[in-house]
Amino acid sequence: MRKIFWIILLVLPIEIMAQGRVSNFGLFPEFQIGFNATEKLKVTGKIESQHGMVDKVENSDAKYGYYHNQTDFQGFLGTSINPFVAITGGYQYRLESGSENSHRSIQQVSILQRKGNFKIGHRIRTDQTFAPNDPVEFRLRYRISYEIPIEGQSLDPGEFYLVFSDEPIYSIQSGESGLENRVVAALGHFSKGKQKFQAGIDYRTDRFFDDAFRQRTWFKFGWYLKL
Amino acid sequence: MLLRIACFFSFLIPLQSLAQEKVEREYRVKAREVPAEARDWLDDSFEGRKKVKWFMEETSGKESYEAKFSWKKEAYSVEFDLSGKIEDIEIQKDWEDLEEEVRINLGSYFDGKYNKWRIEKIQLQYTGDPDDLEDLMDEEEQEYIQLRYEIEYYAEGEEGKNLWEGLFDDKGKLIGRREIIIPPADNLFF
Repeated sequence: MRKIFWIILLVLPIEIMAQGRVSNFGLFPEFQIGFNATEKLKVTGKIESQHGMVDKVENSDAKYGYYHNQTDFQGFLGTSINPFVAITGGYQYRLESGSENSHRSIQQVSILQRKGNFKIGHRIRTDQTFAPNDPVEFRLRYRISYEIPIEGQSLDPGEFYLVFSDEPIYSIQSGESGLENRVVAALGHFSKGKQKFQAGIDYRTDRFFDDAFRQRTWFKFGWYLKL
Repeated sequence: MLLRIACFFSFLIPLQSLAQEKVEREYRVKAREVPAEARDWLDDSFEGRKKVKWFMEETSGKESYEAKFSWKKEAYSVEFDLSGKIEDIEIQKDWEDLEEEVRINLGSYFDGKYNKWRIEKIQLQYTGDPDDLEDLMDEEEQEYIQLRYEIEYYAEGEEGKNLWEGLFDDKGKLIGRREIIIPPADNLFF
């Protein structure tokens, strides 16, 4: 168990920083809280924040030093169609260093599958980002996540689990398309039946088709609370 | 900026204490931690079985050992109390494996109560004395054995759209049921 954690924490970012054109590494804490406002209406709030530690452009020395990249404040209202499917709408306000702050509207459908010992989560999301002086950016995203219990055949309170996810994102802004991919590998702990703690690597790649191919690696750690 | 964010996170930490206590837990244990009586019973009853995975199961304060393994191409789950005495044998089955009478009774119950339903998982549950259960496994003798069906199903009806675990008798008549609440999975969706 401890070995898996150290592999995720140390080895993966070092490997990633060694290759590519534009790379960075930083810390990515997040906190999420959800509760049922009524029998049908579920409310979710989330804060996530990116803090850069290292930047590197190919053929030049890495720059070490702290900087705040961005912090997102998100709120969602959703309803479950059945125990496995939910539809949700949300809003995000982003504080961004070096750029104007932005607003985002979000729509998503989430589907939970139970396959043997593990859970599979499908998230289909569209969002629209509004920033001063910029055209609106439209994105279409699909994320597939696997949650795998480590200690038993089902994830029970007090147990550890692994999460792997992949999310391709298509974006379009003023007729210009972009592609991004996000891979997450994390170790989690399900505690007291109401909350989860996760820590792992969030590896993002984009600008695939131009010279400035970019890879961003975050050590992501989060607390997910259900009241 | 960093200070503001740190303050916000630390302000929310006391909310952690609102979380409730667990009611069910299952985790792996080593074979040597399981009472010899349970291991011996398994060896006598399931000759040629594949590797056994042992679990400790805690349900609402009750503890038991559970052995999970494949035997004759079927998934078995055998539960023992803490002294090593067998409590029940569960075998995973498909709908088509059930006797016609049982399928008809189950179908009548589901059709009568729900607009739409779907079976998620079926387990045959055998209970009885250790010797009788051993005879059931190695000689297929069903005398003094109680058979029940533990069925996990999704249903839509007057009560809404829910996931249930129903316990049915050997003819497929309902004994009891409880709603299954899927543990929170918001970390996969936000």
